[in-house]
Amino acid sequence: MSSNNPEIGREVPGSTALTGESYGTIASVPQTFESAGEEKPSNEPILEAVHLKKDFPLRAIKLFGPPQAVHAVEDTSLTLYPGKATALVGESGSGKTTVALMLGRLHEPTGGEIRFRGEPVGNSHQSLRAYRRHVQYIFQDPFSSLNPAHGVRYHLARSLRLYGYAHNATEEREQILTLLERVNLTPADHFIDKFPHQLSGGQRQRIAIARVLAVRPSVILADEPVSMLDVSIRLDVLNLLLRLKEEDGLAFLFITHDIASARYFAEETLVMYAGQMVEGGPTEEVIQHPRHPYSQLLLSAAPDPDTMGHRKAADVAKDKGTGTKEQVNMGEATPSGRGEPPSLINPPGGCRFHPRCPHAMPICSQHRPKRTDLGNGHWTHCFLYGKGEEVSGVSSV
Amino acid sequence: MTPIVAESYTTASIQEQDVLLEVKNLNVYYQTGNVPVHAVNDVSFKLHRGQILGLAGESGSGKSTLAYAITRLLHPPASVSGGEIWYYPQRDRTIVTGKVESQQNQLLGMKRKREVEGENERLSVNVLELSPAQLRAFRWQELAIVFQSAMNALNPVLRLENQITDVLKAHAPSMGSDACRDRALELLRLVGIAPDRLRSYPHELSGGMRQRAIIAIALALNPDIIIMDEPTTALDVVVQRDILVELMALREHLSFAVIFITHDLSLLLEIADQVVIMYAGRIVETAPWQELYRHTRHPYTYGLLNSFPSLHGPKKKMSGISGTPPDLRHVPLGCAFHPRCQFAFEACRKQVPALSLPSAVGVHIGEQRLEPDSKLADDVQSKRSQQCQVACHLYNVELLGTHMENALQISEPGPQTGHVNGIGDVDFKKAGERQNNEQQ
Amino acid sequence: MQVTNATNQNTTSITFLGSTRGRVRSILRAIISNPKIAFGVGVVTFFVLMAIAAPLLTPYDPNASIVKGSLPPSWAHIFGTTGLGQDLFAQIVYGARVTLMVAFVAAIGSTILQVVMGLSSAYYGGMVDEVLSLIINVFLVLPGLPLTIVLASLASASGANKNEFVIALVLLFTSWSYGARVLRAQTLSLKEREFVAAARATGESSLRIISSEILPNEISLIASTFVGTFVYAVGAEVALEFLGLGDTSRPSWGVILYWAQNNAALIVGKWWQFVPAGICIALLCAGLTFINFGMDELSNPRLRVERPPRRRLFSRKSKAVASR
Repeated sequence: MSSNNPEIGREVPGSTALTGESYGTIASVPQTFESAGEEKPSNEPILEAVHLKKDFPLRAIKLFGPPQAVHAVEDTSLTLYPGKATALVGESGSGKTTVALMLGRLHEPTGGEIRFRGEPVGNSHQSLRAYRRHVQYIFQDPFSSLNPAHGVRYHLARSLRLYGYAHNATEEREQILTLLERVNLTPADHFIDKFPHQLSGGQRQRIAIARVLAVRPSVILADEPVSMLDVSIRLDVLNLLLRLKEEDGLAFLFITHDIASARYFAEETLVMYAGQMVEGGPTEEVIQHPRHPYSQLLLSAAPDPDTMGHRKAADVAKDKGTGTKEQVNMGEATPSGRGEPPSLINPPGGCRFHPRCPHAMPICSQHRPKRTDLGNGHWTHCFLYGKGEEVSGVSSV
Repeated sequence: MTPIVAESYTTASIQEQDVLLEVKNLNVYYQTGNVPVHAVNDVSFKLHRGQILGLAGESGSGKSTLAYAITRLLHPPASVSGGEIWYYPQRDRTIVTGKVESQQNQLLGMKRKREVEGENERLSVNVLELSPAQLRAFRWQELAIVFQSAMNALNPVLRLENQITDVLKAHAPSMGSDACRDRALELLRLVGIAPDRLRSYPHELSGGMRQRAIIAIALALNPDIIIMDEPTTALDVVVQRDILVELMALREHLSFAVIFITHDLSLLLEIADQVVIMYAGRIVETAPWQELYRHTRHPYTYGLLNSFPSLHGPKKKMSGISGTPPDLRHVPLGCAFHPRCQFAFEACRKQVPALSLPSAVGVHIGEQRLEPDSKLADDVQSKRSQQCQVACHLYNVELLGTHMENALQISEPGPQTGHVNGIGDVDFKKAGERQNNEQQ
Repeated sequence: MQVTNATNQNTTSITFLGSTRGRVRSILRAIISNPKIAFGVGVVTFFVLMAIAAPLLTPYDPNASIVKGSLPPSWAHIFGTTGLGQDLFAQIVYGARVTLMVAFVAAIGSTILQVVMGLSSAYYGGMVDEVLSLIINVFLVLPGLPLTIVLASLASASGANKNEFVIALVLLFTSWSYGARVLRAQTLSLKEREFVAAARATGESSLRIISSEILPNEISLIASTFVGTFVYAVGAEVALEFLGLGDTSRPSWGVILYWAQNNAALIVGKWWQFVPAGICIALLCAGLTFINFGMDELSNPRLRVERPPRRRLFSRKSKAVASR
């Protein structure tokens, strides 16, 4: 806790919330490697997305037509809490990555607001810098998120230097070694001089995690962090993230298309379809009792390792007319929503799932259903369960 | 969960006569840099008519290389350095209208009658020695391949109709354009694409439709074998399930055999009849899917199956397999899996285990404790044909016997060891769980 | 979904990375192992050394008239003499300095300009891109050689500016736009790579991203363009001097050719006045071009010709292979 460094001890107005005016807080440089967030799981939201909207404008295809855009995200709200993981589940084109990119401020939202610790984030250079200090992003593809021209040392050192955690080569090396050990890349000094092309996918992803940790954020946005890794090492990396979540009290946004890993990792699950949120709530609730027809479709299509053998036996039994009733019932088809996600340039009106929905009603194509509370923190946007109410956009988990 | 209806394939009905494709001791090397990479190492398996053979493995397992070797699509620096691939064509098959006899004759002209012990002669084709003309006759009529990414396999500047008729005209030149068009429409109907999409360009189709289009093109000439290299990996879960259901229905209808390559073992267990697990270029286990699922033998298979978090079962901490798949340039000596194996012992570090029938000890990793052969169910016994093989020293009694001393000394469960009470008493599942509990 | 490559290797281009010692070693290894680069580097180094060691190689002053008239090659004058009696060998050796110097300055300046213009227009996009692209395109469209000739003659018309560096500047201004365009295209694609987004997410500034994230990945392209510009500069410089637009009193390879032309050497049959200089020019350009081919092979593994692995004297790897 030395005060020789001119950066330490700079005045920060009041709370640690971000304001537009001053540079972020480097109140003191902790000697031990702890997240500066150091939050215990609490009920105070740390990052909120409020009615976010994103349109990507397209160049006019027709000369005199109206300007067209890809309506990637429509009216999405979510809240992240320290020490808790929230999974955002959806297929390709659902907009989940776009939401994460907006929260990571790599894309600017077309509408809506982002709040960090209750305060809206500003647009100035300093507030952006301070925001990044607290909110970091892990990319999906470990093969392209590391610069092939630079080694491990460079990647980690940049994070340390940018935020003033290391001021000379010794401190840098020490902290890099600590980081590598934290992400289970041991022996650490073996890895410090490696280049990305010398590492395997799993190792690269760990470097990406270490780079993010070096910044000591309070929130980590993980965009499908394991989907490009080999199956046998996915759990290792997920367990690492879980451990970091518990040790540092980090808030996680976990983007995935694999519901089983969402169940493994996150306490809260949100389901998106074609840019709209369709359901959300505690993970067990959403997975065991999905309400929205799309969630039901998604869950029925997901492979379940537990029932693999039994499912097939049930099929065989059904074919042959033998087998127990229980087995046959398991083989009953759930309603299938044949089709694919719609084009987002001209998305269907109202609820975007209505063309595929087996329970669609006329109102579904006209209006987007508002949020209906199903109890226990479980909510959905579906006219099957009521018209719903306009909510401020903060989830109540 | 929407079930995928699979033909129940009773192994009792497998005969030698039904073998469609036989790969024997295939070896493929990549000559890159100083160290040649042994991508496919002594691989042998048999594909039976109408069977779905699932090939599972992670990166570096050699599964895609194997597929390319079978279709002879390998380019330098990859080359087949040893082994044989035999194809046994059916005598009377439904020939697509207009297919010229001469092409089939060309293929048959290559046949060499092989004597198989105790059986009648049958037509056989040595795939690795086909001439270019014969290869053309072989490809697409007898064997077709569906690639991983449909967008890369479809020509972006040609309409779908042209791409299908292209294939037809290349292999069945006597088909008139009307006949070609009709066949194209029929194919689209088969795979579930609306006929009005015939004149679309690939970029106008959605991902699932493109993959269906690729499957349609593969089916154009009613091949006997279709090799599918991760056909649904790039697709969403819902679309994937739809396509697989349709594929199963098509197989019922047209009875072709499928070699299905994927890294997703749980998917494979749903659709495949026989599963082959590859690791570092070798086959480590092969068994019918029930056997693989219920009596998992190889520790790698066990680890793979436990790498999928459960969706509806009890939530518990899982650990996958520690370590990483090996770089094929530096494969560990002995059993390539031993650095990551909980149950490795001395012999594993030194000798490469051969793929063979599990010995009489009948060890398996699963719910059941180890039992000697006689106590296992009769139908399991009868499946002890070529169906079940595993390459692991744990199933080699002689080897385990001589190392029993060492094995018995391993009494503390730990990350690298299993809990062995005595020979015939290994319960790996419990050991695995104990390890998981300890890690928590 | 990762496409599985049996060697699990990410086949990106060779980048000159690592510690300085490692970098030097890898460059040397690259040079020696590839015959094209070896030849090219050898030739260029030869000429450079020749230029540096000029006073040691010949006792004569290239400008001094030593004998009367143009003499064929002899032991005293290896390449013979010019029409004014100057020793041609001395002229070639000293002239190499001028030729190389001018071409080098032109190439370096042009490359710097390309990098600055290409990278910034691509990275910043928007208005900056529009303006800079416009400038690049204008220069691109202007016809190169005629413009060079016009500028050079304007420059040399005012007598006092008859300086080889004028030529260097002229060459610089007429050759930078093509490379800038290429670099712009490359940067546009690199900009979309995830590691650039990751650097932004970490909090790096734009300038830092351009210089430390994008630039190192373009080094092979820049090196290749540099060598290409060098070749062009040599050729264009010789051409200008041949036309008499350079300083005809200071011998350089192009000036040698100019005087040879003036003395109608070809017609008269005095081949020694132009053949040696011509061969030197051709060799130099060939050498540089081979360096470019070789660098192409290094950066694109698919172009590499498969050679059987060479048995090295002290190789640890060979033991590992044998034991399998």
